[in-house]
Amino acid sequence: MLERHSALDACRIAGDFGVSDASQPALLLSERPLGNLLQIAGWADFEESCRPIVNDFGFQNFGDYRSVQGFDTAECFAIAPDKILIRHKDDEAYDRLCSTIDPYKLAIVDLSHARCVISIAGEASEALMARLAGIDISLAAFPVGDFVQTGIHHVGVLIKRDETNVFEIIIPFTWAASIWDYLCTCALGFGYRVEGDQK
Amino acid sequence: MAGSRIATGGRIDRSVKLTLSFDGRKLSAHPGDTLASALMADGQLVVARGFKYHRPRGIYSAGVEEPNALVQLHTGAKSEPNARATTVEAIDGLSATGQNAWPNVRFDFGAMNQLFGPFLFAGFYYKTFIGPFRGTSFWMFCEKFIRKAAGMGRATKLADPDTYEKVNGFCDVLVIGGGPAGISAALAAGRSGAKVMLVEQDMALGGSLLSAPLVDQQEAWLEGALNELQNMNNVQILTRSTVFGAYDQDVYGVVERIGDHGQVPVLSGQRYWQIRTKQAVMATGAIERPLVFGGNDKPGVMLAGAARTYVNRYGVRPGRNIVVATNNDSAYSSALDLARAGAKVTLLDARLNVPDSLLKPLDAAGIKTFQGYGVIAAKGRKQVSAAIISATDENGVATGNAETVSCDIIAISGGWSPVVHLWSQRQQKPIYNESKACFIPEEGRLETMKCAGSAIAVGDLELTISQGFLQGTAAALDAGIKGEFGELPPSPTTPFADDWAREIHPVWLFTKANGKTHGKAFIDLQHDVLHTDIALAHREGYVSVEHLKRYTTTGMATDQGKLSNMNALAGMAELQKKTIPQVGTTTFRPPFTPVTIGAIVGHGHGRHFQPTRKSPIHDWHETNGAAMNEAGAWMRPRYYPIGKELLNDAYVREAAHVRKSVGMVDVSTLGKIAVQGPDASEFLNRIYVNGWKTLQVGRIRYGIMLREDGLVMDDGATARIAEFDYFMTTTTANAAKVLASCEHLLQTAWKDLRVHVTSITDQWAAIAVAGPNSRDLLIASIQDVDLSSEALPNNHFTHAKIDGIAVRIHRMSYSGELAFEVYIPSGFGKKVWESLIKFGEKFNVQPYGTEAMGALRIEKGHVAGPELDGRTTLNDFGMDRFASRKKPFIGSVLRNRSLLVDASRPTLVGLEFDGSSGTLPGALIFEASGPTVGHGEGWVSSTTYSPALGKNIALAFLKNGPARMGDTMRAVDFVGGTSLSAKIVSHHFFDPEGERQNA
Repeated sequence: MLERHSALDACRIAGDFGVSDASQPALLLSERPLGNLLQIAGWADFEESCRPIVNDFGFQNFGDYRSVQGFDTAECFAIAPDKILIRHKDDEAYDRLCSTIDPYKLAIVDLSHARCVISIAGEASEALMARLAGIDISLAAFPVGDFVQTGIHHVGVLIKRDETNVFEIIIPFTWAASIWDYLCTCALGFGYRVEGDQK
Repeated sequence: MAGSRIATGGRIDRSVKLTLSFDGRKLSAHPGDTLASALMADGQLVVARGFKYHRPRGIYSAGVEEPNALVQLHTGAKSEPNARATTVEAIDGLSATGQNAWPNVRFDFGAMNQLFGPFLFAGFYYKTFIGPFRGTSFWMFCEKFIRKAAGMGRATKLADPDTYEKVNGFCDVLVIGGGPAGISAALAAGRSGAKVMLVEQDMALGGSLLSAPLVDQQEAWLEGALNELQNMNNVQILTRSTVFGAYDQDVYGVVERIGDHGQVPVLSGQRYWQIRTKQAVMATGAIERPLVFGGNDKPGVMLAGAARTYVNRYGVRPGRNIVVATNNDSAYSSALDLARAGAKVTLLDARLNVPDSLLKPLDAAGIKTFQGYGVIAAKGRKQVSAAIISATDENGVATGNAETVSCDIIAISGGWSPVVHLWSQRQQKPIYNESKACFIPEEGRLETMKCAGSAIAVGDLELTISQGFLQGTAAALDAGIKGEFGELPPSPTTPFADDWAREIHPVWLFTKANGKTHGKAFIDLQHDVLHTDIALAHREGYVSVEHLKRYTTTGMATDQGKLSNMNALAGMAELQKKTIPQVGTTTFRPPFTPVTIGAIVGHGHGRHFQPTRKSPIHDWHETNGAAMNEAGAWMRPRYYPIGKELLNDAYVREAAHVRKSVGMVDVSTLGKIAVQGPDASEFLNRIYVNGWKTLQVGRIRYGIMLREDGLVMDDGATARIAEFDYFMTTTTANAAKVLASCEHLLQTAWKDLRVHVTSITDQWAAIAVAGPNSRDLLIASIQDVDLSSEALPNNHFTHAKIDGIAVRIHRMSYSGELAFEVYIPSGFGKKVWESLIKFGEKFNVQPYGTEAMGALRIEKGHVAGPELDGRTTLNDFGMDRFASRKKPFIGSVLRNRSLLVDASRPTLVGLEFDGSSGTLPGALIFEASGPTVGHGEGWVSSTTYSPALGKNIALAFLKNGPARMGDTMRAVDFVGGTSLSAKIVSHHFFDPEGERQNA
């Protein structure tokens, strides 16, 4: 099996960058594995048709359009009234679903190679996010476990908050290197560390 | 020398000495000073020159409204023009120079312009320089000199070394202005638990209190309020931050100056905030209005409130012998404070009845007062040496004998103008308040913007504080916050003469008995607009205030009506015999104060000017020396030079190699859309001109889609992956447009169709393998898949594995050669590319770039972006037969408009050029012999040198193209200056029967 190539391989250089007077940089930037990403879409009876699938992944429901339904091995994002994303670690799931879903009711797309995941952690993570996206990133408006679909530097992304000071940005593969470069520029003033290979 | 530092007082830190320079001359200052206060303390009266007449100018104000003291800051790359000295904080080492003067502001040769003063009236340039000669060349010649002679600072052309950043801010209540009203509004909202942002343009909070003497009670109030605010976690205070724009949806633009005042460490020089708020409280205060009289621009004439600020805030006395002229109460406190600072003060009040409560304190301080008096003129050559005063009537016309009063400063107050700019920017017209003689916002007009304090001329300090608190409370409640607001903070005793709107007498112009001013009287000091220019505009028929503004240029540049507006309106009203509200006011637009372009740009320049898109195979191309170029947002390999090979040699070699053996090109940039659902084939049937219902699973079909207006939008191939699952490809350029169009149709016109469209461009890398050896290369790379022509004919696809990676192989050709497109999950795209290079070694496979790809498709006569340019029809390509007559589709009706089916429309043809040169896209086609005028008979869309044909060829659109086959025409490139003969041929230059691709 060939090794999977990341859009960030060439630009994600480990080290400390920018100005920081603290021994621990205010920001840690890293790439995280996406795993598998499925989009399931449907029509009028979407929820009813899709419920068995989400239940199989261990979810009770889709969640709302801001809350990630998730646990260790899978996450579910309700991205539109008739569309969800499921991020998971089951390598066989896509083929299995393709052969079992009712195509009159559901459509499934594999997006496992279509996105990259960047993690932003550290005490300045909220300040950096405020420089990247036009969304209220305060903990009150964007609590841990929430996600939002928005834009960074004109590119559509999905941002989720894993911890108070930890965010993940899910970015289209072909834009990822450019967005990484942009957020590094924005992070320079805080000082940041790029972690080694985390994929 | 007029100004001097007084021994004590002020809000400056006298324990620290700073050294500044102006025009090379050293100045001493203290933290808390501005460049203006340092200049004034040093006794420098002339700090600038007028825009047009180059008359000497001095410091006029103490804030953002400063019209005169614009300076050039710093040198070299950090040089910044038009900085207002009144807002530039004193920092050690700051260097500034005067501008718009040569050799310097103290002695300026440009002052000769005054000799031509009578001719430099409003509209002078246009009246004089446009018209004497036909055309605009004379004006354009003169313009260069005029712009040199008049103007302001010069922007550097060096790269800006400063960094800027953009930040998004969100709050429940945005309080604009950190004066007493703003502070108490923030206090109320903050106590309720609302998320509050308090934004103040000054370096310190306090607003008008900073201009008042250090009175214990006021200081205690300010300190207490600020302490409480600073201890609230829900309140964010931004000082040195200007709300410069108010926009729809309650978005406000703010520039925070971080590095401009020498603070370290700094993240960036300036920070541009985009603040979204639920409610805003506009506590922006008011700006003092000038009085207009002869010589009112001379150094030494300044606003009375500013004179008070210099005394009380900066410990600088503007002069020793001061005449204060006013039409309202506020100047009385200025006069008193100036006298206490040791100046000899004379006060003239245009009003006849002034209460004892105002007069007695002045009398006690030894100030001589005149009621019913005004300044008719300022005297002095380079600076004020005396004021000519006279008793005046209620309109400011002299009624008595003129008297000359020796003085070095004339401090004036014509009332105050509430700062309603942000209100106006929200598309609201302020209303005129007759009793307060000013425009104010109309309460309740904007549900999400409250106004507080002097911004609505509320009254004295006590009222300002209480009204600000109430507005802060209302804003928090309207933002949905239901917390406790606490008690109204006790207000300090109302200061002396604090209510400027009380009994104001709205006289604005002082003239001699004959109604004429005593010399030049300026309405707009920044643009040198005279009182007489307003009259001229009136005589020339300008009746709209908006036209008056543009004709005379009053209220433009950094002034933006702050000082000049009301007096210009009053002048116009008087001339038109109307009231001020009947004349109306101009519309204020962002920015309130100038904003550095760098702050708006932020990081969005250089490589971040726009985001860049990179193919999953991009890193291989870079590593292997590809010459990259931009293709829309994408970076694509243009060619792969060998050694020192240049573009023309490289692409010809690459294209020839594809025809001879095999080449690989990265086509990951193709738009890819998953079209899924039970109605997917019906959907495709509607958006493409050709039919789709019969396409079998495993097959591919080429399609063309039109816009609703019948012109061609895009083309591409679509594969049927499963019964309800299609894999659509689009051109690289139109991918987003096609997806948006599909989504739009599904969400609006065709909501009944059960179809989803999803961009999968990022999911798939794609490699085109083309050339006679392409099949052999792929066979060597995969296992157990039959790629023979029988098993996989054109427009079919199959699944395979390359080095263990599952891929899909489409049999289709863009180059005209036997070719395949290999679709690979993006994460494996680079690896599969490398595998194919490895397996292809024995076939001498070579990568080729977009230039060779273009050459191959032009040889084949395939259309691409240059032909699908939004102006062409199916018929123009000779593809009309492709459109179904059995079904409707997008554009099927409007494509039959007479203009689009006109037989003489330019249609696609090929051009073969004689000789070794070709033309460029955009060249126009003319008859071989005949005039080269107009737009010709057609245009060239794509050109290349064809290695297969050994000549330069082109695709072109030519009127009556099919009838002109074999004719010789001329292709004229007006940009490159070439005219070449070309033979009209079929656009299918190479292998027209398609034998090679069907092999």
